[in-house]
Amino acid sequence: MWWLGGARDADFDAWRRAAAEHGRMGASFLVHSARYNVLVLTPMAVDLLAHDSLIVKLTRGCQLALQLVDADVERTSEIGPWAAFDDATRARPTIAFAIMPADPIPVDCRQGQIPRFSAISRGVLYGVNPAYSPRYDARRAELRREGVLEPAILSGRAPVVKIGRGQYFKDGTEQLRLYLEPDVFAPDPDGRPARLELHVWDPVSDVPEILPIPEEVIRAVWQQLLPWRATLLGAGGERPREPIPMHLPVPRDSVFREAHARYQAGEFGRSAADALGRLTYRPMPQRSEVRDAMIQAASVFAAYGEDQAAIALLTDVMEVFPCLTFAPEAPASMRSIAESVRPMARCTAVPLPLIALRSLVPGGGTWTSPGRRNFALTMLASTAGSYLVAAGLRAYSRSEYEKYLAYDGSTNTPPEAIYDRVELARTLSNAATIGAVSVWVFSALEALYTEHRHARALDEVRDVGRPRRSARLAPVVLPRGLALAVQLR
Amino acid sequence: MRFRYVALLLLAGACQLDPAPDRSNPFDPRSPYQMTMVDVPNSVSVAGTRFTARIERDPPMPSGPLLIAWSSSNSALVTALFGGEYVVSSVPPVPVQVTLLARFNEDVIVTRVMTVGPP
Repeated sequence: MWWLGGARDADFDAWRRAAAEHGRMGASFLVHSARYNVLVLTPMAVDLLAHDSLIVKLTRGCQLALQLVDADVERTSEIGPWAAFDDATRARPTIAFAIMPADPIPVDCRQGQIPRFSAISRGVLYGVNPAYSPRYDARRAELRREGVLEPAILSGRAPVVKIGRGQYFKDGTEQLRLYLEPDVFAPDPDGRPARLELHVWDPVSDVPEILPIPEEVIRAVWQQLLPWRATLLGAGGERPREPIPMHLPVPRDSVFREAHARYQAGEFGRSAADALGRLTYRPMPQRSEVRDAMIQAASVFAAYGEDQAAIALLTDVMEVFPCLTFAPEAPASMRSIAESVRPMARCTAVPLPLIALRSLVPGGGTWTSPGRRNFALTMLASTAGSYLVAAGLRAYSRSEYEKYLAYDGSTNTPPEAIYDRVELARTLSNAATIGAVSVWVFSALEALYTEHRHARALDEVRDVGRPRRSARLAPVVLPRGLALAVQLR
Repeated sequence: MRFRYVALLLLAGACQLDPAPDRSNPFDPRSPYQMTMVDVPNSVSVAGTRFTARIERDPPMPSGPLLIAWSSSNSALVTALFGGEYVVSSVPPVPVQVTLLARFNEDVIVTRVMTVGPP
């Protein structure tokens, strides 16, 4: 395991305080089941939710519904059964699981998610008429990674405080708290999130309630602690295993630019920490800059042998940019990771003249692009359908016109009524023809535009890490006269 | 270049829209074409004179029989027979104007005025 506490985590408390001051990293994740609510808390989330004002605000939102007096509302800030546990784990990175009974009769205090999470983290349950039920009582829990028990650093049980109509009370329902190593959330060697399950037992049954932790939560929790992890890279004077930095364009975002400068200057761990920290708050920078920042951080992790982190980052990057390739100048580890995590994707572009030629058949240009065949068939069917409708209406219009011309006064239907039908059918037929042509032209233009964008996207992520060549022109004086010298760099 | 022409031709063909058809039925009150009654003498002074009126129009009238009701405003002087044929039944002592009518339907009626009487 990577986190063993001690010297490597000595600065964690300070880093955590700085993160809390910025208030940028504090995501907590709620996992539901029929009987339990589980809040997964990073250390930063613990700090964020510890503010007394949050629970007071939430209780105030329910004050009227629950007929609470002001003193009762203020008194909720005194509820904090896990304060000692949080203090004990303060100086090391841990992930806390707050396991609470699900709200039997949920009361929405209408104060937003963060105050609600604060109440869950303190073990407070709001209900109009909450009553004890052993089904919701959490007595024991354990986390299993790929089916194997993960030992908790610290765990505990505390009574749930229920706030009913005009009263606080404890009816014997209990909540649990588990503190685990962040490595529990580490991806597997292929970069895929591990399978995590939380098993929770109630006091009456031997069969646990099993809560699978969603992949998104596993990834997000892991990523929340990557900035801290990055700060440790090279902090003890270790040298990277392979040469970095790789060449990446200078970003426009100020934090990324600073991280880029540190990266180029050899402050690798700090640069990766800054770049990843920037990803945790809004406004998000441009997509290409986020990609380059993640590649930059991944290259640092890979260079220091932290392949799991590098793989996780590159997996995320390649989910969005599956055709990303690294230049031969990029570190070998990055190239091999990219190849190993590359998802299935079409990484070639069809020439636009070919798309245009095939678009002469409605939807033909779209059909050329694999994966868009349903859309192409829709375009073809829409065009053909519109033409068929147009042809049908035209035929009807013409047959009615024949009747109009043949009218000799011997029938009851007046000729103007017949002509009105002719006109209506003709107008509808023309509209259907215009519709068919529009769909046809649209499908051709859409196919061209989509393929053009695809080709540009491919160019954008081809040979990442290649030093950009720049040419410099300068006048020079030669014995035979003046000349322009071209210098390639 | 050739591809562009093909594409343009294809587009032109695909875009072919039906123009509004000609509103040329003479029974149609909203037909834009003016009809006139011809082969009608301006004045007749001899009883028993017969003539056959025709309806003329540009574009030409459709061929074939049409159910037109021929009549006159004074059938005592000019009597409509059949198919546009009229006969002057009697000549009054002073000239009288008679209107000949070709009634296609309630809304389409073509008229022509002639004088019956001594010259």
